[in-house]
Amino acid sequence: MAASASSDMTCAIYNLDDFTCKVVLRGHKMGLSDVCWSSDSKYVCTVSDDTTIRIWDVGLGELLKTFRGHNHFVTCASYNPQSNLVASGCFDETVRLWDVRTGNCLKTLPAHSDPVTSVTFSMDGTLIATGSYDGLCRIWDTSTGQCLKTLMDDTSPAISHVQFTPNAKYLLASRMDDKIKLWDYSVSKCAKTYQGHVNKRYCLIGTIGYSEDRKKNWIVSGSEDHYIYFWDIETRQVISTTLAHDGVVLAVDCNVEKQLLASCSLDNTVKIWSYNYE
Amino acid sequence: MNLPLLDVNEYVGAFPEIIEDQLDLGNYLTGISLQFNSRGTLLAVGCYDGRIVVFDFETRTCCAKLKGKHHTDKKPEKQTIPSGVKDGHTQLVVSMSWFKNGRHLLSAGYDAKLFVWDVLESVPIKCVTFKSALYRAYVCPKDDNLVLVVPTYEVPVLMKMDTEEQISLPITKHDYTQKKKHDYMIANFDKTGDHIYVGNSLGEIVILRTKDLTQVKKFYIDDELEDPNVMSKAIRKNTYAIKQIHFSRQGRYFMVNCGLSIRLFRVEDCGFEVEFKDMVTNSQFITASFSGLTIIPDSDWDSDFVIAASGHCLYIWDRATGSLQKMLEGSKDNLLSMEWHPLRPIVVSTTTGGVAHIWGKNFNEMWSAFAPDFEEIENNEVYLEREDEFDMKEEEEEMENMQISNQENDHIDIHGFNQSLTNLVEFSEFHMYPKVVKDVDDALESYMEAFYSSMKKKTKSSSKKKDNDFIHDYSSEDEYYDDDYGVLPK
Repeated sequence: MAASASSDMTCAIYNLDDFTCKVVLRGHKMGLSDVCWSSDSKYVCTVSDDTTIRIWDVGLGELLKTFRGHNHFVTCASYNPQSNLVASGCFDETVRLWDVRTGNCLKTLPAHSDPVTSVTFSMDGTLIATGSYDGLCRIWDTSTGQCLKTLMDDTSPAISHVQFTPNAKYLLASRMDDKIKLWDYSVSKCAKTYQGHVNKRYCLIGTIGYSEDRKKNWIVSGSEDHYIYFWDIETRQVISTTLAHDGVVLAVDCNVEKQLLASCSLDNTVKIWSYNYE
Repeated sequence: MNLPLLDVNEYVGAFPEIIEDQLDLGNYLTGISLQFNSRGTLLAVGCYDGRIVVFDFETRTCCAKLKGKHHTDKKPEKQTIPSGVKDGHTQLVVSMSWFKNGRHLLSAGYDAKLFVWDVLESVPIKCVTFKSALYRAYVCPKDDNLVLVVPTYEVPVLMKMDTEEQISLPITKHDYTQKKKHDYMIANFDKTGDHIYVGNSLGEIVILRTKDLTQVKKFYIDDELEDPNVMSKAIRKNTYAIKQIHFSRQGRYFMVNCGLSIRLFRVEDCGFEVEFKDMVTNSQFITASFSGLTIIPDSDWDSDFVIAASGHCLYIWDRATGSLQKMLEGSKDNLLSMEWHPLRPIVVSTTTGGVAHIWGKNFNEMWSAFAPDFEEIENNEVYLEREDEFDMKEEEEEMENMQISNQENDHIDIHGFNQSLTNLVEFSEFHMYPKVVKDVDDALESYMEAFYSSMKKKTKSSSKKKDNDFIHDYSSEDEYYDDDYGVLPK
């Protein structure tokens, strides 16, 4: 299944077996910014400009929980792998941790000095990474809420998306200066830089894709020139580009098991790609 | 995964100092026993009335209630539960142990019943009734099928879970000259599960091999017990009665909680190391435990601290030197149980007042982590800059950039894990995914929305029918209002 969050206040769930829209989740009062799945694929969490975070049951298509507490647009959210916590980033520059069972806010991290654009958990749930318009990526300890690391370099363009690699040794950061950087955060060093695409205005979401045997790894990102770019993770070369949409390609996401790629764009479409040919 | 980034100095030798939080056990529930799972994500609390409450320790909320039919008036669960199992514990739960699969929990109660619970479904899957009240129950660390049950005043029993075959340990009970004393025994697996250590009220420890139950070793915890006169005196005064045998996290040491003190022994040769005692009050310890792993273990590292509960105080000693590090005093109620978190410097304790306290360490904020080009220093320093330190040097910068781009050719591995870390944190496949229950507020909200939208439709259709009806619901929508205006005469 795939979920897409839209600025028309709805979140659509698509069935990838027959490519039909399974259910449309309605309830938010303003446009949505992000959607994420729980690990057991039973629930999705959506965040909206109406300052709320909502948990939905996908099977029933009904609203289960509303987390209230942010006082500005909520921009991003992420489940932890155990799916008992949701971290959310907000325009009010904070990151909050929510208990999914009760809906209580457990922690508020004074994360950044500009709106938070992205938040993500490591594979074991002990680390949280956040990215922000202030150009910093920060890494936090989940249990204590301590800031453990701040990643920055000389130029600090806004960070649009952060993501851990599957082993959480590296942090992928999409930046709004036409670059995607892979940080070795333990030594605060940029391990790789990927460029070639256009990313200046929008918060584009890039991701890491890999083949089922995990031998081929690549970085995928949309671009403001309507293409999707693929980079080899080692050589940093662009492997291929695809003219994907009639608008800016905002976000891409990979499904490793089915070798599918989903992309969404400002042309109001979501496209599912099979990337077997590579 | 957070371990490489943590300030090691904060964690080495860290022990709890303050009350960080408390667990909500609900009304009239008193925790008798506590048990963390292997990673410390779940905490089972066995209660006075026979319930077991499982807490998600990350969010500190209750995630499962394990209780029998007599605790609930609701309709029975749909799952097929073996007959005779439905009742749950009817008396206090004295001991619990997690199976290695992380999903099942063993519990022993004063009602002589031994239960196996499926924590995910919150249902009992097995129940075995014994002759007398149970005191402890342990799952073998090597084999989930093997369970060691310690009844009160009986010889401990080794049981196979699948066949329920019970083997009494080959240990003879002592004859007493004084009839009033009961001989009770304590047993526990060592960390590998290869041996069973049995202790009795005479201060004697017998080590058995788990495989064939042959006796490996037998010794008294104090040499003076060899003397029959001392022995009879010790029996009379109960000074060497062993209450508990507990192993350190890496399995190199074990402690014996006996009489008025706690004695620490090495596992390899059963050599005596240190004795821990409260010099002032000279009181008995209810329970004792080792500290958890807080750092990446090196070759000869093991639990740093020994903790024990007595009265309303928690005592923390240094394991190596035996010196008292800290006394934690919480509420005025007496402590019933306590447990150290397996990976972090956190201790949970329960009291007779029904409160479960969480003791934690107050970590200092790492301010330098917020700004990588700053570092924390103790005192102000006078800095003398070099002559050309802040001059612009374009060429050198270019050179540096070149170097950076060359450095980026390093091989990177995004899938492999650091071996030492995976050893420490066993990734269990099992997760206790929360079942999210619908909020009452939200249910009401969505109901009201549906109600209003249906009202809107109704009033619209009704307004078309009855043109001159002036009773309107003005609080509903503007559209309706516009409709109305069209009808009214100008």
